[in-house]
Amino acid sequence: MIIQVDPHSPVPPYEQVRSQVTALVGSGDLRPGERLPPVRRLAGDLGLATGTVARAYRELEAAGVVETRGRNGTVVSATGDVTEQRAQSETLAYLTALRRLGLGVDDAVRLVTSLGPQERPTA
Amino acid sequence: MDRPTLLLLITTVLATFVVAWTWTAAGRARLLRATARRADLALPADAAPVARRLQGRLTAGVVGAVSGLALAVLVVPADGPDGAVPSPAVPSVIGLAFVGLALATAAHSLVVSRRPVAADGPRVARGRDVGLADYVNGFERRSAVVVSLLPGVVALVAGGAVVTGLLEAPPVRVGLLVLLAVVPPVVLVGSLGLVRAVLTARQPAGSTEELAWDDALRSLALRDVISVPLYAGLVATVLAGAEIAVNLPPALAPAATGVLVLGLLLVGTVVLALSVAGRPARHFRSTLWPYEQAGSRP
Repeated sequence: MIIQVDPHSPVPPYEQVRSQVTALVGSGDLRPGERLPPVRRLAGDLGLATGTVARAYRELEAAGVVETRGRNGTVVSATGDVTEQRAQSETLAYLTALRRLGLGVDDAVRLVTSLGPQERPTA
Repeated sequence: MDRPTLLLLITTVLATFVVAWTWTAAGRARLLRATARRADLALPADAAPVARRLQGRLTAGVVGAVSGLALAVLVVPADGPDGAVPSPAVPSVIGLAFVGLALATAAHSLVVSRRPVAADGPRVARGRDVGLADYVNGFERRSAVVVSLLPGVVALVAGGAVVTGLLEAPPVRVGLLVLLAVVPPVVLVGSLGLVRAVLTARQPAGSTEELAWDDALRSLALRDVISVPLYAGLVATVLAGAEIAVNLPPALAPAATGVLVLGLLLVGTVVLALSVAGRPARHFRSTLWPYEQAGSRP
């Protein structure tokens, strides 16, 4: 369960940390309830500013990947699979967009199932 | 020349030779190979920095142990208070050497953790927090706590014996028993504070191999620290038990002494065997490093 930051990458360091922690949680290498390193220590280990790591942790918390428990630090969220959480979040956004067009859940299901095989995105 | 001073002299001479040996390239290489074997780690691609760290750790430990010995020779009475039987002089001197060694290797670990992060190249860190359980096996951790509290149990037993009239105080020195009961837990608390300092220190690394070696050295430092309350508790238990045994009624004293000696030998042998069997130097490998990541020793 290693996080690696490349200082020469075009990807911002906070995004490298955020995406790698998300990947570790998604792969099961970081399990629900496991504690992440304290912000200051991870920043020191990676040679980053404390604010950079803090931003990554904030974004992870906003995405539901981790929870901050005050003095007990930041732990991996116990609220289920990260992929499932992202899917729910994207589904909500899709339904909200349809509602603005005056369409409902049944319309959403109809539109998805009406897509032909060639029109559906591949993995 | 009294025993503690003789011990100090012999130790200083040996220590000088050991430290001088590690200042040679052959000595450093041998130290690195021995540590790799103990920790079951592959030799690092860039061996020089790790070899220097090992040399620094050994030097710090030796200097710390000799300093502890020197302090002990100055402050510990040669024959113990009131000609105590057995004399706590030599165990106390050895104990202070342990303290010196643990303080020095922990301090070295903290100093090394301040090294700068490489400006170029990748930076690597662990994605989860670590604790003492990642570096020291459960048997050693629990033993340190249990053995630190044993003298207190012995003191309570002595108190019960005094109340029931089996023992008389004096000649049993209640003050000594209280001291022996209090010192190991205080040492334990101090050790755990030092453990916390080492665990919260940085681990800058540019590769998983470098991080694995840092963990190996950290494991050594933490085990040095945790051995201090173990030793203190063991010695205090022996001294407290002896204090009771020699002051029992003449009919009971020989049997009690025999039980004490045999019991301690048995416990000591079991503890040592279990400790060695647990391969304590490799414990961190099972908790932090799957073998295919850190690379086993060929």
